[in-house]
Amino acid sequence: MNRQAAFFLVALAVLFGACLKDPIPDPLNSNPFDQDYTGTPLVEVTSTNSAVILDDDGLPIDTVMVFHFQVRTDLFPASTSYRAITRDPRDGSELTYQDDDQFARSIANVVIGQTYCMEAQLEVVGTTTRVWTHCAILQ
Amino acid sequence: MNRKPSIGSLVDRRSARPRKVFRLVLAFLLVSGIFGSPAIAQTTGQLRLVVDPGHDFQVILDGAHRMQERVLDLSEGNHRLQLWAPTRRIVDTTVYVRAGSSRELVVRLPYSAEFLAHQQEVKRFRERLWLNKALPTVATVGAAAWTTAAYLDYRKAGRQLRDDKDLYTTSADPGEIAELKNDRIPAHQDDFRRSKVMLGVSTGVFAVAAAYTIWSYRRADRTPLPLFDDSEKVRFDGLVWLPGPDGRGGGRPD
Repeated sequence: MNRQAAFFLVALAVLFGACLKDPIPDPLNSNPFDQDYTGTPLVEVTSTNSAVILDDDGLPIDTVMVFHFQVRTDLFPASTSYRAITRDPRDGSELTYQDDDQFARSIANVVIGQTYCMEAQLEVVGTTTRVWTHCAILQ
Repeated sequence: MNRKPSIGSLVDRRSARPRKVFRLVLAFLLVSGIFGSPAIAQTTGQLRLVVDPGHDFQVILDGAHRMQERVLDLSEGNHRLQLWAPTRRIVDTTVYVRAGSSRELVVRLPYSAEFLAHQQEVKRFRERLWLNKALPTVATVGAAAWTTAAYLDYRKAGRQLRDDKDLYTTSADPGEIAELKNDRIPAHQDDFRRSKVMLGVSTGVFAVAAAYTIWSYRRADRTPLPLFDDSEKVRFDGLVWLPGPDGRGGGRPD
């Protein structure tokens, strides 16, 4: 009986040992193209700076803030074509950059010492990624 | 020509009377020796017993002598024979034996009613035993098949989820990722959970069925066969007195 019981228990243990666990991690957000992605932004702001716009006579007419962006293609799960989109949250104006991994966007009518933000996202195969918002104080 | 009698002839003549007596005695002995033997043998006859079963029957002759002979030399006349064998009924018959003849008595001992009832009981017992083993075995085999199917389903659901995860990890299509996360993965996770529950239930049923099967086999192996009490043997033993090992009564022939 003991041998039979042992065999039986081993068989059950093997059966249960062979059982699979749910392989889906919770939360599932590790893919950078996922809307719920929480890792390193795909579109980073490498630096910001201000610039004074002069007219033809050399007189300053406006101050702009320039955001320098970099697309982290090294984080892509697979090589793909993309379009970067930047949006000024103040007026919703968008600019796009096709397959550029480094680009810059400036915003006008800024005041030194104020905080300004810029939204960036990618569009891949007709679908956009999550939006990353970058804010900086104009120096 | 006169012949002179020899000494021998003189002796013969003198002893002629005793020789005549001797010859008469010799003649009587010869007659009784040569022809007398058949005259004595003709007072018995031979009875050969052809009995079914032929190997272990016993016979009581004239209510007095219990034996296992197949050939009986019997005096002329009626003889009562009571035949019995294990599991059979006693057959009581009277046979006329003619002197100097040899005859066969063919008897088929019928099975006793108790033995037939015992056979039925053994048959029922074996059927019950078979059923007691077969039903749990069938249940266990069924549960094993169910468990196997549930495990395969479970493994398939798990594999599907792994494929979904791989696709999620490697996909560079946000639309596909959204579809994966919103539709496919939740549906496959439902399948996985369902198959997991089914596997647990089927494994539990299989464990119970297998344990019950082992127990029922062990119980069946321990259950003794119904015993046969040969009441005809008791009756047969009572038909004739047999001395015991000490020469007194109460002996049991076996």
